[in-house]
Amino acid sequence: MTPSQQHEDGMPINEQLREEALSWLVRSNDPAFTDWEAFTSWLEQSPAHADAYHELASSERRLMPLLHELEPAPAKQAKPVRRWAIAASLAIAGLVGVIVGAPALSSEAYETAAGQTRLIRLAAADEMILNGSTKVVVSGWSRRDVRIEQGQALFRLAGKDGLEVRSGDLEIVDIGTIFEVTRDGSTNRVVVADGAVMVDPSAARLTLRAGQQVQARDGATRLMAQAAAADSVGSWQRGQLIYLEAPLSDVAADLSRSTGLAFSTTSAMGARRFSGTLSIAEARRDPAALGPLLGAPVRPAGTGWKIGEGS
Amino acid sequence: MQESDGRGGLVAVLREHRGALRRYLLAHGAGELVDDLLQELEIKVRQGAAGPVQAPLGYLYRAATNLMVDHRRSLQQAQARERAWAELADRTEASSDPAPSAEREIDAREQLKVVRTRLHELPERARRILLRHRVDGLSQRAIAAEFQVSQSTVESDLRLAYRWLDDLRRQLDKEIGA
Repeated sequence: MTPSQQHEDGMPINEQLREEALSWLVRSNDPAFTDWEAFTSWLEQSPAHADAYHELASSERRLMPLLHELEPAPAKQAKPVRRWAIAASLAIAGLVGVIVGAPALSSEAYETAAGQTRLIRLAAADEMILNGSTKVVVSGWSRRDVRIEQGQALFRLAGKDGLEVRSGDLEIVDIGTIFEVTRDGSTNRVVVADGAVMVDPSAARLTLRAGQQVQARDGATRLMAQAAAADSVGSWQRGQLIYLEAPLSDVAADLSRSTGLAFSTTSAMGARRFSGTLSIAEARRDPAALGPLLGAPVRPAGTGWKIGEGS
Repeated sequence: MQESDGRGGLVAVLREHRGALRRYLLAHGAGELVDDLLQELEIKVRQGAAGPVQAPLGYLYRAATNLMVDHRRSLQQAQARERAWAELADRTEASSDPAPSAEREIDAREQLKVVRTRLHELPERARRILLRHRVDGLSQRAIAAEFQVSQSTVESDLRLAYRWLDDLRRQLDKEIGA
């Protein structure tokens, strides 16, 4: 788009053009609309047509989430992602009249490769840092709903608005804080470095404070706060992994995420506890050298590294 | 109706209609970025729809429309932000993720307040129809059946709603942007 195609703010667009653009917006927003050829031709007639259309379309894009936000709760119970899934399955079932279009309130997915980290700014001054091999979906107005699909994310929240994080079936609400959420397979872990969070706010209402963690598999019925190394939170971001009595299976998962190498443990060693600090760069450079620190041999196995003797 | 089997099918349809979609993006003002945008569309399509999609061509055009709306908005916001940064000039945004949700800088609560105070101006039925249409994704025809009104009534309600949203946006720009 060249600058000349944009019109100045405040300059009234031709009313007739606006009415025409409105008609096209109404038509083209309908999931049943098919006349893209005619719509293209109309847009091509003049850049002013596209300008008029986008004036309206961008207003809609910007304000629909607010309008949706103001709806009473039942109308927006389903989160956008979920609604999408429901709409898709209805379409498969062949329900007449429902056609899947691109959802109006789209959620945003972020992914990192192993060994990579990425900073995502949420609303206001809130930040989320993704560790390697991680996938999260951010949705909702003001980007306040975060779902950890897999991997590990560090949250640094300065904003006053509550953030809702889901990891598997575990729900976490912040109370203004720095915390880390990890999902490996179907196991969820929350560690708090500063402030506090509430886990499972609708039932267990477990408050976790700085230096505490909770670990729970999907479907777990009991949640228990345990001591954690508070300085371990987000330590991967500083090139370190810090543990207090952590099972080696967690250590292996962290190492895989941060180094991009595939670490695993033998079944016997998975539950063994480890306390200490590991350097990510060192682990990547010489995985076998982790052995003495972990108290178990680390050896090549397949395309990765195995912690422990035997299989 | 043609049905596409997940992502692979969609990508095939995209390739088949590449020329027309390119023309569509250009008509929306894609300019010299048209090929980048076309590629972005393909990436979005690959990552998007998980299940089968009815009317894959419509899906692609809709995704292209969304892409252009976002693209033109982000250009506009980039300009607005540059102006704002020039005024503040005290923070760098070097480390932030530049892509999504550029209105994060504007106070969301303020906006919400304005929308709430003006909500009564939009007739109840038009509001409900708008939400059914744009949030739940129901077709105008399905909505006409649900609300037991004619399809042209649905159209005129939507027209009213879009116009109202646009008026509201102009007001917000005046209050916040100025």
